[in-house]
Amino acid sequence: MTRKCMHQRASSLRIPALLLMTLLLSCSGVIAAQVNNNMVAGRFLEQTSWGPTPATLTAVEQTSLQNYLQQQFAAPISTYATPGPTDGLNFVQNQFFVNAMTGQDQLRQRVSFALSEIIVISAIGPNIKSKYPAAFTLWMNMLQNDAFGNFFNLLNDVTLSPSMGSYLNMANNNGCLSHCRPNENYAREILQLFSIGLNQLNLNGTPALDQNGNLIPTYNQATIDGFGEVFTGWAYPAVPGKTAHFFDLPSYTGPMLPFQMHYSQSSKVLLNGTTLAPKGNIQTDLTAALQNIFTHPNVAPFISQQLIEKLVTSNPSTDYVTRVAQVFNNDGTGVAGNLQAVITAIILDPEARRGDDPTQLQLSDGHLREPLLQMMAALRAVNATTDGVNLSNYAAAMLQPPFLSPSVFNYYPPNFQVQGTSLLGPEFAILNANTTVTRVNFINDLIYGKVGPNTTTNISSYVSAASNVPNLIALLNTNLMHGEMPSDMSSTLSTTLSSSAFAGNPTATAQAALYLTLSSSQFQMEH
Amino acid sequence: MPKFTRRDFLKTSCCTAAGVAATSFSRFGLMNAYAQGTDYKALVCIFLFGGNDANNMIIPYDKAGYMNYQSLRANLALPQNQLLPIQPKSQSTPFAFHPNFPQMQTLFNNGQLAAVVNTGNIAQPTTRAQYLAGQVPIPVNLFSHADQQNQMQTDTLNYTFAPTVGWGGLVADQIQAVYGSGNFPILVSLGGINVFAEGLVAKPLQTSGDPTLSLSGFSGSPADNARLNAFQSLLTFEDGLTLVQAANTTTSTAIQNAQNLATALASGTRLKTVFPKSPLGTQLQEVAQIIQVRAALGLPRQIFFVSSGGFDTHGAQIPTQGRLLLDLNESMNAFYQATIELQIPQQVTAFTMSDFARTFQPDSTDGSDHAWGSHQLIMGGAVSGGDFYGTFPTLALGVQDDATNQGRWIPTTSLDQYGATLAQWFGVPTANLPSVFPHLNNFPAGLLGFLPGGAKARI
Repeated sequence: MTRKCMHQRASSLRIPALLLMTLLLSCSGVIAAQVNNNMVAGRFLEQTSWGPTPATLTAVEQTSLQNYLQQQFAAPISTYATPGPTDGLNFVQNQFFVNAMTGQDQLRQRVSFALSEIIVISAIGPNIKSKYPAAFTLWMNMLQNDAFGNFFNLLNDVTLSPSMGSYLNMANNNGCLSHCRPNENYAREILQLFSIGLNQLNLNGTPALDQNGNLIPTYNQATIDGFGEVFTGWAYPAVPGKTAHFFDLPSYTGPMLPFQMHYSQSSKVLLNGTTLAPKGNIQTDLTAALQNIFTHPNVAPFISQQLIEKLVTSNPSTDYVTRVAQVFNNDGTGVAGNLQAVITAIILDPEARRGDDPTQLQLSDGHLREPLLQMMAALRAVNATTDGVNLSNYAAAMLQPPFLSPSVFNYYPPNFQVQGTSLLGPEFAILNANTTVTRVNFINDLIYGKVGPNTTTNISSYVSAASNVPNLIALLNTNLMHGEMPSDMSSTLSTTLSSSAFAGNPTATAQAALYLTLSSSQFQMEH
Repeated sequence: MPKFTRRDFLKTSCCTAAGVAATSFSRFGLMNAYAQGTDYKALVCIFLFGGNDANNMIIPYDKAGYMNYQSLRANLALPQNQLLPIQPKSQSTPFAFHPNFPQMQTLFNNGQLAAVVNTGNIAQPTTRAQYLAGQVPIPVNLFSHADQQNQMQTDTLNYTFAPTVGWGGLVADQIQAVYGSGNFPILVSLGGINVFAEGLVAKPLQTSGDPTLSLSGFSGSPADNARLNAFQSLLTFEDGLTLVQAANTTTSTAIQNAQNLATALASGTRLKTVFPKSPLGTQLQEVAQIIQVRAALGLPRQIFFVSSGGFDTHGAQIPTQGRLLLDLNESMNAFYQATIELQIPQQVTAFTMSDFARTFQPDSTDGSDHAWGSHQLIMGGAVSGGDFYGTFPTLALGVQDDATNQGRWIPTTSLDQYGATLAQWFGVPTANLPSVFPHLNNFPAGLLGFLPGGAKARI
């Protein structure tokens, strides 16, 4: 794909003359542009946090990206507090927004949120009732703890989580002898959605094909039956002070417990021709089955590609996926599944970083900010403080209420193709006639009204700059557009904000500038 | 503080003063015939996401049939004395609806409701032996939600990439070739973005809430006007990333469609028919209100997509499906009553689809798992109701109709036959049906005859 030269800087922006000249030259394809720290830090923070702030921009500009990643790996975890007896799901939802707003572990939150969209539980449906908010705090704390660990441990913790046990019916799945058979729900989705997917993949994420050009299924119904038998015999942990029984009511205090008596005694067909012998030990068999999944060659490209989509771009090249999948399979010390290494590989990959130099950006780059990411980026851009109350209502109107995915297939599928293009754009699956306007109206409420009873904003730095429109636009560009606001956009803003309608009113000028920038598709598309 | 609940756009839009001339949306001379009200039809797809357990929606009611059902369904068997009996005209034995289907029972008995039994995605007539031997093409990734939802909406068995065209959209393409297109989409999905409604030419309005939602915060002051102009300018820039342009197109199209629809709805009145407040009931109410202003929209044909979710009953199936079927019963009935109120019951046909049916054999957690062939409902004044179309499956495990050993029925009537019967009634020329329904000619039985114009015709 050839690339048009589209990101020439407007001369009114605060860009050194030499750099501007370099950019102009580079648009003829002759000379690579210099890159300033703001461009790098802004893009990096869009990929690794819930949105840049002046403070985090400064912090990244003062160190290397590698060092900043290391700091983020070590940052204290924004743990979800355990709900009280009268708390509902909104207790957890509000914590989500507060953590995203103020937590120092921004990368951990982004990664655990991405994982929560690959490995989904939800309060929609009958299986986890919203009167059990502890199911979700336990779940999020588990994901956050495991986000920089090993993928096998994550798979093990997910499998034994009572939250997942409720959601996909592994809890109380009984290896009964007659007149019934194990529930297939968890067996099917751990394979289809959480680990390997439906079809054999090449290392670069593309489907492998047989000699007739057909997809090659990774499993069949016999495999589902086999894993369904493996996932029998587990039940909720005991209520403190009591002895656990197989059919106890849901309890979200720790991992599920094994009940050998309720474990299927049949043989179990797994992946790649492996079969577990009859009458095995429940714990030994489970570990063997999870290893059987973890060692399938699909795991690396399947998980790597989706993490790239969530963090960097909807349309990674096959080379990009290959590079990350290789790290997934071997972190350099012979270990597979090292998520810290995988995240590092995703973020520091040349393809993730090429847009730091705007002349190297490709037309297919970037991804639409999903609603929660768009909301948080806007909130953080206007220095908001919040207790989270009411924000879930906005997220719901944009089809992304926290912890309420419509199904285990997440709010949107990973392979959604954008109409009128040949590109994938997963987040576009929930950008419809209503939500696209709702997203704009959220910005209206944020800038001109109120988005929650206890959510405040502070745009004083923009108001201070508003007496000089070029300065105001430069500040927007630095803080919100990582220094890459397109020239036609900046000139439109300049003309509008310089008009008599805004004369002598710096607050109105700053508000209009923020509204137009935050609601623009150029901002909503992270690139 | 604004609270983003689902606003009832019908309530607010019906009472504004501005009327709209029907001619403002008209195209060529088609409006003349249309304005007389003689040539309007609507298809309404009701998609039941998650895989509706049709095995508990329609149940054998004769003694032997029920006892077989009760024996195999075990803890999922509904008590016979709660079932609602029906006698399909073509069947020698009685059947029954789920206990929460009283109004569906009435419509069936009155001839406005039919069922296509054991229908699903197959490329050609398929036996258990052929299936097990791999001798016939079957849908890829069979028993997977995402794949079978897409396959039901696209009438394809196979794809290697995300599908972008659905059979509703292809039907709309055919219709637009005859009737032309107007200023408003022929397809409207109130159930969010779904590939069913995407055509090669026809582009749908797809929404998850109020489709007339407009930009808030513009008062008409000079500063607001300047800001609005700038907002609109930014939507027109075409020098950026492909996905930025795609988002711009989505937003600007949404704003234009919302204005046109709001204007048209202002010419209508609020229907008296009471709908359930559920998501499905609300969507069907919106469909009825939009149909009411069909003249203002200038559309002689419309296709709608609405949905209900939560049918993936791996556990706690009896109470969960019971609630969902009660809602389906009440919502569909309200919609039919609304078409009577609009005096066009014979011009509107609603029909169900779902991912798949569920295993006849229960699982160990009071639920059932993913299966294949299912029963679907067709409702409307034009429907030859009170009957089943297709062949009811033999309810036995591991033999005959079962693809596996748990009661996953191999469809005996194809989605092609089901969809083509609807499409021919709607106005797709017979010769063009195979271009929408690619396997149709593989089925000698052809169209199913539950709607006029398609009575047992061979293609």
